[in-house]
Amino acid sequence: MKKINLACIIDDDSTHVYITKRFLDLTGVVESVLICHNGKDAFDKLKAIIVNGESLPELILLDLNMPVWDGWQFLDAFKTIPTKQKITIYILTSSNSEEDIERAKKYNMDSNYIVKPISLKELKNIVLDLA
Amino acid sequence: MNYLQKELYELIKTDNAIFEFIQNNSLDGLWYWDLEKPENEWMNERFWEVLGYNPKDMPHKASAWQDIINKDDLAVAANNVKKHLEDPNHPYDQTVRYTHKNGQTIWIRCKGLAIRNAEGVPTRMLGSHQDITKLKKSENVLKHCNEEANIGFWDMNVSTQTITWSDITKKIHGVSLDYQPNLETGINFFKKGYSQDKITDLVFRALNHGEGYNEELQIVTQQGENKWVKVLGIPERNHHGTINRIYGTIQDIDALKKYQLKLEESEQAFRGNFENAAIGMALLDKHGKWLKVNQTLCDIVGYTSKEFYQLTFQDITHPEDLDSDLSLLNEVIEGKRDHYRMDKRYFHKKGHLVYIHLAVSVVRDDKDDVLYFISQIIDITQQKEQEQKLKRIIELTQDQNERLKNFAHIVSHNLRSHSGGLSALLSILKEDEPDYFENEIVKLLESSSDNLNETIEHLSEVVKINLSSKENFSLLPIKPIVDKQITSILPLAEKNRVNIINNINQDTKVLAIQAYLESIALNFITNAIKYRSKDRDSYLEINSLKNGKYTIIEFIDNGVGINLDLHSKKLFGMYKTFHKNKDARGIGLFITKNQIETLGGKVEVSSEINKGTTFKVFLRNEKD
Repeated sequence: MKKINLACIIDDDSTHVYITKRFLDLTGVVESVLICHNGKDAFDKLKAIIVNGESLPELILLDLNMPVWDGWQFLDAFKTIPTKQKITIYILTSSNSEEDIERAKKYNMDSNYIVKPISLKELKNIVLDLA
Repeated sequence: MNYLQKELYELIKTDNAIFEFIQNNSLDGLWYWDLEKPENEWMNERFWEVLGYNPKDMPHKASAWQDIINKDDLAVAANNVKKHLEDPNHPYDQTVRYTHKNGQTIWIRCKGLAIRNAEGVPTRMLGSHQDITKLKKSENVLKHCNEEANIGFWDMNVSTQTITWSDITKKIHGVSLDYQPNLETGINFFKKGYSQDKITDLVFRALNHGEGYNEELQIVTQQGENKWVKVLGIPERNHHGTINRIYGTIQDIDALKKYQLKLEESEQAFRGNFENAAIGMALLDKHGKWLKVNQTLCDIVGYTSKEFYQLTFQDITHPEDLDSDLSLLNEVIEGKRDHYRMDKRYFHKKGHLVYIHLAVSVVRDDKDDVLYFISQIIDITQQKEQEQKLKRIIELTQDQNERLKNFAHIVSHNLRSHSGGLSALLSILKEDEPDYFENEIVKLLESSSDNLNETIEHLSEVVKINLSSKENFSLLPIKPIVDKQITSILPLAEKNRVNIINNINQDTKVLAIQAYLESIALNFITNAIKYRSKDRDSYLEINSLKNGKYTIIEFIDNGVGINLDLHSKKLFGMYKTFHKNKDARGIGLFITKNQIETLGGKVEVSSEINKGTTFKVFLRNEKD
């Protein structure tokens, strides 16, 4: 079975980071996980990966409500990262508000919008789909 | 005989010049008729001049004037001549009409005296003419005026108690021209009560004290019609000083009087309205000076009426409101409008502001100039204060609404996040350490966590409904939506042997959000399954019917029913359950009702224990 070399969790909530990481581990196909605490942190870390000539994560699980840069700011900044690599981003948020869902549509992310808590089964499906 | 009179008689006999002077200057004609040769008649020059003829052209023949005298008058005159000739005491004195050469009628008072011989046989007749045309014309004018003014004459002979009425007097009383009144019948025409008492008193005073009168009273005509008249009475004394005659006029003033009474009535009404009005009222001249104010206005602004009359409206108007008031007032003065309304501020005498609603209308004279303005003033201070209070309340409510939204956000986001985390952690723990879950407390922890999740899920659903916007509503067909819900739940329905019949019309549409319609339908369908009766074959019938701007969707089941006497008030409340069914959570109907109301509809329920329940969902089928 194909493996996912690197997945990235962007979330400021340590509990959710722990859960998501545990679930990713439990899928058995994710090699390593990059943890970022907000949008800006993630952007900086991804830039550093490019600078080092390494591969970017194949899967990004992005929270929306975060300090420094929120999820939307990250999405805006992410567009500027020069790469030809296929990167799948899922929004993984506690917000089920119409406003956020509408906004996700504008980013063409509405089908990749998951309301927390995500179940292991759900995450497995996503990961296996990519692998 | 006076010597001068005697001398004049002598002079006339001896000096023709004297006779000429008399006959030319004191009379309008003199004639001397030969009764023995009646064709001969001498007429003086003045006789013909008055009638417009040249005396030189006229022969001294009786036939000379036969063609220009009025034929009727001639007959009367001839009759009088006959009587006078037979009886010297019968006067020959009448008015006759001649036709002037220019065609006009000339009125002549014609008097005559027969001259008799020694045997008393009349042989000559001497006559005089007096031109009374001017008098007659004036009389005619007067008669015409009286007719126009509806003034009639009456004349009472006191000793005989007889009364003469002129034609107009008879017309006013509504009697025929041959009617003969007397004192009693005359008085009886006056309306019983004040008018009759008054005229009786006035006549008594005229008769006994010689007092004249001039009074407006009411009569009742022969036809029974009440009529206002003005009666004038003038008593006349004879040379003994006793009243022997009362005469006067009676004038029909009914129309005038009624108009006057009406005017008085409306003036009184206006005055009454003005004085006692619950709103402030004022009359102002065109310079804004107060001419008249009522008490209410005094109360509103705190000035007495006397103080008001020293002021103009400009003096008490707030400077910021003055320009707009003056410009509207000028438009009225210029005739561009005849009234205006505005809200403005006055200064109360004590200095504080009074908010008023002002309505101004104009009264103009016959030249269309402004006579005065009528202002109506309503004190709206309290209303303005209420408005401001309301505004503050609205601001506060909006503020609180914002806080509620924030709270909703906290519930739907932060709380969910934490409870989600908790349950995920528990599931990981279960994976890692399944043995822990043998412990009763951990089991309870797990179930509490599940319940917490569910509660938050419901709460956030409710919040979402309440924040949804009407702009997203569209007309949706119901039947396919309900069909979809039935299909999704069919295995459960079949398992529980509930027969679901969808009778909704194919083309019935309602104004809604699809997700809500689905949720509403699903809730009623699952309820029907949950609360079926185990004693009989169960069914759920779904119907639709149009009711004006609403479409009613009926969900009729034959389930266990709800005791509405006990539960009707809290049926749609949150976390209310009425059955001992283990699935009952008491949130479904609360959410459903919220969704229905958000769509602008309502829900009604009727139920009978152990017979079944009917929910009627009213949904709008057109936009407002």
